[in-house]
Amino acid sequence: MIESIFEFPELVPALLAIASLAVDRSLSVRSATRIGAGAAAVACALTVGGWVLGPPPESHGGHFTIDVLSRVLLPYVTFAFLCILVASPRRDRDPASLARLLLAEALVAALFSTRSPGLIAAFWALSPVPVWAALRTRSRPVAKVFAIYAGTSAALLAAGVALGSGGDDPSAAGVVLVALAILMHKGVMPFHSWVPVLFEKGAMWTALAYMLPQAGAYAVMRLLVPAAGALGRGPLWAIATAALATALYGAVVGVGQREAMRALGFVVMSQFALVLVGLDTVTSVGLLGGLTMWLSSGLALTGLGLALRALEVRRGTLRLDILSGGHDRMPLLAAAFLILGLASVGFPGTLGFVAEDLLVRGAIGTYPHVGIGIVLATALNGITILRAYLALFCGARETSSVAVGLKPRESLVLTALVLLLLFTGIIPGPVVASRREAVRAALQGAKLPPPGPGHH
Amino acid sequence: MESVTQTLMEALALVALTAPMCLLACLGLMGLVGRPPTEQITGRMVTAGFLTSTFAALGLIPALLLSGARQAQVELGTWYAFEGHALYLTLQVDRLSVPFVVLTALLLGVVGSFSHRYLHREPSYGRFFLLLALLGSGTMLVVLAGTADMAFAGWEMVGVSSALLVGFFYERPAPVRNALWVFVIYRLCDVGLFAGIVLLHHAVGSDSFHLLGAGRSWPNGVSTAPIGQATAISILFALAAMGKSALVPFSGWLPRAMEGPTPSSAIFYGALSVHLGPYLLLRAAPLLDRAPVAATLLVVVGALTALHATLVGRVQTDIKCALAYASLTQVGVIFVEIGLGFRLLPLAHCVGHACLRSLQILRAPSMLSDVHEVEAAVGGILPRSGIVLGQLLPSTAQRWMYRWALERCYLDALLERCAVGPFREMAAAADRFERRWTDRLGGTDASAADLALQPTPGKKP
Repeated sequence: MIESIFEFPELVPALLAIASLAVDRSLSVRSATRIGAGAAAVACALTVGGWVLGPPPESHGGHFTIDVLSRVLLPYVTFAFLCILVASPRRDRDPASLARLLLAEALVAALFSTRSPGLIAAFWALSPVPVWAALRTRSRPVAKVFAIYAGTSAALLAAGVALGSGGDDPSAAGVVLVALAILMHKGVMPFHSWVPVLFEKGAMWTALAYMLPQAGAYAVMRLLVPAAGALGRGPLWAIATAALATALYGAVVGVGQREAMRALGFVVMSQFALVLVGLDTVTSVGLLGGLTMWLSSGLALTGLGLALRALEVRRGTLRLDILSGGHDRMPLLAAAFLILGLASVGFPGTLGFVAEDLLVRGAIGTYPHVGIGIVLATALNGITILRAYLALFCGARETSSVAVGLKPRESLVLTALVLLLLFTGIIPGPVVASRREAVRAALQGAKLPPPGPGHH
Repeated sequence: MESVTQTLMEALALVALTAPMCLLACLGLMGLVGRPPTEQITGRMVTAGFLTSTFAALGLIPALLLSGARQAQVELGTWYAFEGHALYLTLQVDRLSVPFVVLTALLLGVVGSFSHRYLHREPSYGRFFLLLALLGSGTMLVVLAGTADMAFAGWEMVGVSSALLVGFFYERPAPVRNALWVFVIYRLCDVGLFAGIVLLHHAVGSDSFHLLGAGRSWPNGVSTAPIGQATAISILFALAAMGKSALVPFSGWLPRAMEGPTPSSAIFYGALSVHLGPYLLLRAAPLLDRAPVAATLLVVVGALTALHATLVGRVQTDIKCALAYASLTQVGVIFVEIGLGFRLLPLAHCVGHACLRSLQILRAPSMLSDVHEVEAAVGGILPRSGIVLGQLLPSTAQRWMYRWALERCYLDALLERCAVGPFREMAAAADRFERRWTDRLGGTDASAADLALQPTPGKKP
């Protein structure tokens, strides 16, 4: 059964797409949740099983394939989506929303199961559609902003792929268009303004479903890194520089926010930009750091978003300029929020620390200032996280008589994410080893000369 | 014999380090799964953890004295490795780390035992010991670290636990605000440490403290780093140390840290945390020896801090603040000693001062009773001390300095005006631009959505 995902990489996306249709036809939240959670759990089990127990992946040469890169990305995405589906509050789990969530997952799973530039462009264009549809029901202005950026990004990528961004003789114009598409999709300066709005005005699941897979990073690995051998490191370093500026800018603006969801948007923008910094160094350690941060920041910020949403459902708008208290009434939620937040900014003992360390080490060999920029950005993001924790859970005695404790499914997901990040932080060997082959394959495909004397 | 001593040292160092970590893991996991231990069980676990660490630390003294080399590197393995890059788990046991390990373990044990009674039936009893274990684990990691990366991990743990201990009484707004201020200062100064480590990698090609001193035992290490790079790294390390030890101009967080419970104050700004700055500089002594500019900076900042603290400490009206400023005065002097090139003197100063100050702070809640006992014994009111120097000044200068000391030399106001204010303005301007741009794209009213960063009345975190 588990080996079947290597034989039929289309299995997981197809399963999720069918489940999406079934959920859309459900008549109640309960049945929709059961079907959706069941399908998401099976997808997660298949991909995790394929990663842990499956045979060494081989290239099938077809349109869809699971290789050393997607082998870990698929379990990451399916697990994160399962967490979103299970821990989202009831009001976010109406059949239409769940169907869109599953469809978004199916499209991302399909994107991560292909290396074909044409299919990447197709799924890249389709994946924002469920999110956009959900946004339209909530806020048309936000949906419009999102559509402008996502649509432009899809058009640019399609044009770049059509011009020929890959292969042994990539077109410079094609590579530039692809790079621009990636910057827009990832929310990198100057194409970043939609990210905080998505978190502030959209539903949490829409923001997470679009941001956490980090399809832009995937496109870098599939389309830009292979072209680096022919065109040099210039385009990648341009992206890395823009990403570092984004990380610093997002961190600076995030510190002063007065609304928790918007602050989370800036933290996500900043931390996810660091993934691009690592990938675009195209050094072995930098790539490894970027790939590890892809997983660590994605999981930690998913948990943080779910914790914030759980709190928002209980309290309403979450302001950071007033002290709300409630720590003693929601100790698990407060602890999970703090640990997940600190994990997202590389606190020791979590996977984020390993990722940040690798990222900095990868950068300092050639450009020490990049390492210092990374540290400054995470330091500022850490301040935002602690400020949010103190404002949302401390500083006052909450006297409301309404029950605010977490539901078992919320507790389960948050505890699982916390334990996973702590466990992989204390014993990072398996995660690092799982990314090693992907790094080697990427560097082999890039055929790059050494970057300089400082390169390790 | 030599190999037996070496093995013994390795085992003892490992136990001293891991005992508080095991305590942290047990308390943390039990709390996370919703089964926090009772007070009695917590007390036993804390006693077992800190006692084990203390015995192991004490055992390191004879083991170190018996070893001929006076130092040992304990290789615990590789945390993770990839193509020549690895984070090695190495402990450094030498004449610098062992006194600090013993001090840390002993004070953790004493404070743990004191707190068991002091916080009896306090609602957050378990949380206090969880944070104490985190602080203990971080401190042990810093002082035993054989590499700068490991030291940074411990440094971060100490920073977070310190901030959370300041905000321990989380139902009141003042501790929460102060915890955030402490964390901001820590976090920004920690950038200096990490940037220093980055440059250390770049300059020396390694972050091993052993290699930093060319393999010689502390304090005889000699660095071969170029003077320019040694100066830059030393200044960055000094920045981190200044933040952690509350030196001028970062001294403003110290009185704010009084909001924490007394036992945490004793171990936080009385003993361990404020002395980690000097420890870091002593560990980086080979670099400082090649960086006269950085050493001069330490002397100047240390002297300014001592002067500032002794002046401000004289006008404090509560015992914890007075003790904190007294502590800061001594820390300033320790920085001067390090800058002047002393190595063993500041080490002895740190250990002695930490013990004395911890005792004073732990006794602080009983101060009135103590004073009354002494006054009853001497048969009169005790004379005021420390007013002679003040009376030498003209009366106008006395008033001016009194006001200046009351305002704590306006250091927080200075930071607010020169750093925090402009930073806030810049962030607010950027956010306003963001909102206007997205509102224009989406077609909504910009001013209606402009919530961010506008001042509002009421409590602010």
